[in-house]
Amino acid sequence: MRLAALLRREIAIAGRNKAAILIPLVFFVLVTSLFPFAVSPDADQLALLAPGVIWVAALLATLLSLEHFYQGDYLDGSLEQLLLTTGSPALLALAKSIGHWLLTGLPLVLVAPMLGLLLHLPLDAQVAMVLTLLLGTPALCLIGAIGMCLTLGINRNGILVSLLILPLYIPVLIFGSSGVQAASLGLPYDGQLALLAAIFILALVLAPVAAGHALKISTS
Amino acid sequence: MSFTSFADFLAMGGYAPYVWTCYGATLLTLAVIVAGLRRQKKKLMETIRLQHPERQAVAPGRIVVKQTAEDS
Amino acid sequence: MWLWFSRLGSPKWFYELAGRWLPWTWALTVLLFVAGSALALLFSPPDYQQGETVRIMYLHVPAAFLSMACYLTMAIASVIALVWRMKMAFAVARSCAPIGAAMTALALFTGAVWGKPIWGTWWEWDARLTSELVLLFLYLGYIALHESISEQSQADRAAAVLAIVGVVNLPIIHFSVDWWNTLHQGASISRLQKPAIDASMLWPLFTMLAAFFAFFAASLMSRVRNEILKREAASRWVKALVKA
Repeated sequence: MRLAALLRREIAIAGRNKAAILIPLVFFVLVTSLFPFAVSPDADQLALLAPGVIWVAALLATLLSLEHFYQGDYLDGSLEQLLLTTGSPALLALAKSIGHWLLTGLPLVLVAPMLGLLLHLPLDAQVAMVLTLLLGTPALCLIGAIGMCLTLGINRNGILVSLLILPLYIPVLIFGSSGVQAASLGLPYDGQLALLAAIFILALVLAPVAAGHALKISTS
Repeated sequence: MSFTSFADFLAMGGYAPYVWTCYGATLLTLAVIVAGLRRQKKKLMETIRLQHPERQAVAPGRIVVKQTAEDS
Repeated sequence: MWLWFSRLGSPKWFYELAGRWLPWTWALTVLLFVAGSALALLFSPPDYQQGETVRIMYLHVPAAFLSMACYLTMAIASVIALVWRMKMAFAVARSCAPIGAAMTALALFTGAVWGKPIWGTWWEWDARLTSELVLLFLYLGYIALHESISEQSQADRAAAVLAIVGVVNLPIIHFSVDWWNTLHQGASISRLQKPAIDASMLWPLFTMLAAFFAFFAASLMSRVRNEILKREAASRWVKALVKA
């Protein structure tokens, strides 16, 4: 199974740098905890803001962590080697996206309930938040891979990746945070979950192809 | 003709600032695009001319080709 | 058919053909704009609800329409360029971007100025306006990516992938913004809906649409000619052309 081998390699190499894995997580917590200072420590107001704040922070943390998973491999030439040996750029992009999600997306989902507590999010909404993040963050990783692969050869590409990718993140953000909002008002949110699942599946099928193509272009 | 006088036409039923701003903005946008195209063409012509200086005939039948950016 | 297709791929042939067509296209553009402005400003009735502000529609709608048509052109050219490795299609795609970005900015600006007197606000998080804003970001991203990569063919191909990714995402973004908008602004929807357009307003609108498209054709051809000069700077015919 080539995918499993690629994934193992991805996790072994990216996981070696513990700091790079932890920093997005700390960023996520830090950004979220700034909002009580900026707005108000009032529980009702915070609960109202919480879905949007947590979702935007998760989105930015995903975006920030992208670089660690691609830039190193690109600079030391191992990306080119991998492209030659695996033969399928899409498979490589998929493995990278899965590795990225396992090492940053999943921890974000696990930390999110703690932030929900800090922002006084009701329990029902907590469940909704974990579910929407569980479906949404993999889509963010997959879409982000396209932007990252397109800009590999460019120095200081961080801000450019944001410009390319943030507009594409809007649907995930809309359905993710509105699902949490609906849950905190006691409304059903299965529609939002279904739409997020649809986006996730679409991204799973299409994004690795585009990202793989981008990888080929960037390494040529 | 939906206006009775020129002053009427300018006043746009009290919405003059809005209507004329939009028409002005459109004219400006189109003008900026056209000006950009002309400037781009002029600059391109100039760079290409600088990149390829005239080939000079030193002696009859013998042509010296200068090293240009294109050759490197 | 194939002969025509392969000719279209030849920069020199396109440069000369577009050069012959350009004066006519620009003339048509001017003519249509003069006629369209006269129809829009003088010979069309004021709207019974919006009054004279309806005259902004004759600019806003064509600009918004063109901004989307331009993105579609860019994406189709990108597909052709990537699939058939056609250099000319890359030049067309790259040339669409600045024109489309300008049209999107114009559509946003006229939309805001139109919104102030009829909605009472410069900006409404309306699905159409929001999608237009996202479109502007997509254009800016395309231009930024193309300008950031110094190697020409790499820049072309990377930007083409981005254009295609964007065109796949645009309907999804539009749908999600639409959905989000109805969720949050149920009350204001009715006042944002436009009534059916009367025939006396259709003619000025069609003429203006034709004028904007003629402008698009003319400026795109000029822009592609510039792009050809840039890309073929080392070729014999361009050198001869510049010296002449």
